[in-house]
Amino acid sequence: MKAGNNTNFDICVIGGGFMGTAAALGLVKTGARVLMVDRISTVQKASKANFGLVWSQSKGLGNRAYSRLSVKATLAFKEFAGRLEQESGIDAELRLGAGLVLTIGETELAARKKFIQQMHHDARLSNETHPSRMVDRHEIQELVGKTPLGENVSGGSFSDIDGDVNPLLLLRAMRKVFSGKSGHFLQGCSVNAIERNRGTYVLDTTLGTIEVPTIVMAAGLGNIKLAAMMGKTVPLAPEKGQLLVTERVAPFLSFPMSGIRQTVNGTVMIGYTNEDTGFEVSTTASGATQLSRRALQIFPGLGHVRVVRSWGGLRILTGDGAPIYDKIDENAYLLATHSAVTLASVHASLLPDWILGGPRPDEIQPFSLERFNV
Amino acid sequence: MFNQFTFDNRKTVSINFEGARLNVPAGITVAAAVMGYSEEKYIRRSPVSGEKRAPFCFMGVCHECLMEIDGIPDQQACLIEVKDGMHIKRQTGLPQVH
Repeated sequence: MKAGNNTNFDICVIGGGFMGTAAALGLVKTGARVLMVDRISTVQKASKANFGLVWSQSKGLGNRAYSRLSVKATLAFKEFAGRLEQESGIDAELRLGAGLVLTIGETELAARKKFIQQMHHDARLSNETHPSRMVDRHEIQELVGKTPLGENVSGGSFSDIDGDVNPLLLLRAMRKVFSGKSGHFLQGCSVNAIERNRGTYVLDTTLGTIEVPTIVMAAGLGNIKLAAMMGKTVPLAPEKGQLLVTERVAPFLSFPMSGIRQTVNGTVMIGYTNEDTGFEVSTTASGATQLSRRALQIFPGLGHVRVVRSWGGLRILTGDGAPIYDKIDENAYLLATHSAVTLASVHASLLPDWILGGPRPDEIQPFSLERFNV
Repeated sequence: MFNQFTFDNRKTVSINFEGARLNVPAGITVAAAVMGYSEEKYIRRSPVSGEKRAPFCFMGVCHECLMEIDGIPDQQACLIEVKDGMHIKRQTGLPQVH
């Protein structure tokens, strides 16, 4: 499908990753006529390079609203993925009910303990709870089962609501349902310029002109350029992460850890580095060394397992790590987060009415751009 | 599913697949040889369901074609050309982490 000179849509969502697709999916369900556009597939996309955690326990230190939103999203994920599976026929391999942040050595353990105590403390101040608890080495061994832990594993934090999902299958399911609800998805479409023209936005794209009353910028790091087209600056920056993927091995780990998970099909994903190297996504020997060393400290038995591939991707880091949901013009919205997989469930339910002109939901109230200007 | 274009006077090479000799056209990949010329046309079995699996992308991306070639496991069979005398095996059983 070509965009042509299209004026038949109410909304154009720019970006077809987790953020854009979740918003677009929620929007078509209200009956809106939605066009979602995405750049060619060779463009670096966080949605296609992520680890696949559905995760609440580590999100929102010092930011109660973000922690609360992450917990809400994680708790809503089962129903979200279940409905998607019903509507798309795609099982996205969701596993919830156990997630572990494992620590090596006493320093990491002490830091993690402090982190979790702070999360609980902040939650208590709002008369809430935080779904996490510290576990010792012995309990981790019991959770893991018979695969021996490395001798320096000191403990960690555990959540009984966190889990993991196959992000590629989940995104495919979301896109399939979006298209099935008469949403239009235009791939290979880059937006070059945005002009305002008497109550509509005119998008000059590589596939023609798109004219719509409302636009939603959900293009990850691409939002930097999109916002600039409207004279706005958004505090977004890339952070590189590298991953290693092993050959398939017999099932030995039934729940995800923050840096190691075994997929349903047996491969082990070993993550992840946090690197400030701009927009490049190369894989490096030092990155692979760092990742494999840590994996071996956790499970020495991985020593004879072969790594078959590795990749690098870019995270979307906002100025304070929390999401951004804001209106940057009369009918232009900007959405950005590092956590678009976990938050997909609430994005699909909370954002549409607001984007259609309704009130800003309480849950996303604190996440405007204003907070960066104080 | 996998039909071979017809080439006249094509050179062939002889490979050893799962212990049996197989004559295949020179210049094709190991994955093409297994899918096109072996008796049971599959690369591996799913560790979950045990079903037979074929390569998915045939171009080096998906890693669904890993085979043992000349004693080295986890080779991307879709990227490696058949050579006379090559030994190719499916990888059965999964490595254990213990």
